[in-house]
Amino acid sequence: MAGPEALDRVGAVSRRPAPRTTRRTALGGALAGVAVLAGCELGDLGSDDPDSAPAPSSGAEDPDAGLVEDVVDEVAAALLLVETLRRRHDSLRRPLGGLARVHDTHLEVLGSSRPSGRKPPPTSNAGEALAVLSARELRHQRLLADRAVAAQSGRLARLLASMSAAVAQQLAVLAEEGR
Amino acid sequence: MTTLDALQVALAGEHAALYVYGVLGAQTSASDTPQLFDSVSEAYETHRARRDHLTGLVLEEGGTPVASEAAYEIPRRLGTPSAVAGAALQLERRSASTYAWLVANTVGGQRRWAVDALTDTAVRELSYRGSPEIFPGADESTDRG
Repeated sequence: MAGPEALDRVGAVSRRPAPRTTRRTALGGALAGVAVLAGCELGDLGSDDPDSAPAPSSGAEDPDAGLVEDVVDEVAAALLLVETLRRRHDSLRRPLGGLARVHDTHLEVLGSSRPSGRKPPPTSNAGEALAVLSARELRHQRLLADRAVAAQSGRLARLLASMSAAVAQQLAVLAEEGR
Repeated sequence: MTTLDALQVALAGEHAALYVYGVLGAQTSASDTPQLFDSVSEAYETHRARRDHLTGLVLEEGGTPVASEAAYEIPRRLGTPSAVAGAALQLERRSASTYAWLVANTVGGQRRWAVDALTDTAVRELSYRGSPEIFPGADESTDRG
C-alpha cells in the first residue's frame, strides 16, 4: 500500500515534544508547536509544496493564526470539562482518562498547557454528566474536522483531522463502555 | 505533488486494501466468528466504495485512474481469528496514514471527504482491538512509538 511511503514525501516530523507555554503566549506558542510537530519552520506552514510560492517574510501574519487560536480555546475548554467531571464523579475518573490524555496532548502540541474556559454547570449524576460530555465532544470532533477543511496549510489540516479522528475514537470507546 | 497525484496514491492504496480484505474475508466464518466476519465484510464494502469514489475523483481531475496490481503481498499465517484481526488492524492503520496524507494534499470537498475517511478508518481500527490513539494516521508525535 502506498500510504506510508507517500507520507514520507510530506516531510519528516520531529519526535521532540512541543514546548510548554502559558495561555498568554498561546498563539505564538501554538504556531510554534505545530511547526515542531510538522518539522518545519513557521513560514512553511502555508504550503506543502516546496516549489510553490515563497514563504511569507518574518512578521507576515500566518493565514491560519486565528484558526489555531480558536482551536486552542476549544481544546482547552474541552479539557476543562473532562477534568471537572472526573473530579466531580468518581465513577467517571477512569472512563474519561483516555479523553483527558487526548485533549491534554493535543493542547501541548498546539503550544498551550492549561485547560481554560467557563466552569461547566453542575450535573445531578454521572449518567447525565456523561450525556452532556458526549454531546460536547461530538461537537468538538466536528469542529476540528471543519477547521481541518478550512486550514490553509495542508500540514495543519492533517494535524487537525488527526485530532478529530482521535476524539471520534474516544467517543466510540465511551459508547462501547456505556452499552 | 499535485492533487491528482495524491488521489492516485490513495486509489492505489484502496486497490491494495480491497485485495487484502478479500483474502481476509476468505479466512473468516460467519458462524464461528460472526463479529469478525461482519467487521471484515463491512470494511470490504467501505473500501470498495472509497475505491470507486477515488476513481471518480481522478477522472474529474482529468487523470487516468491507476489500475490495480495483479496481486499484492498478503500477511502470512492468517489461520486464526486473532491473526486476521491483526492483519486488518495493520491495514486500517496504513489506510489512516494514507488519508491523513490525502488531507494535507487536497482542499475543499476532496479534503472533507479525506477527513471523513480518516475518521471512519480510525474508529474502524477499534473493531479489530486497536487501541485509541492520540494522533490517528499521524502518529509521529506521540504514540505507537
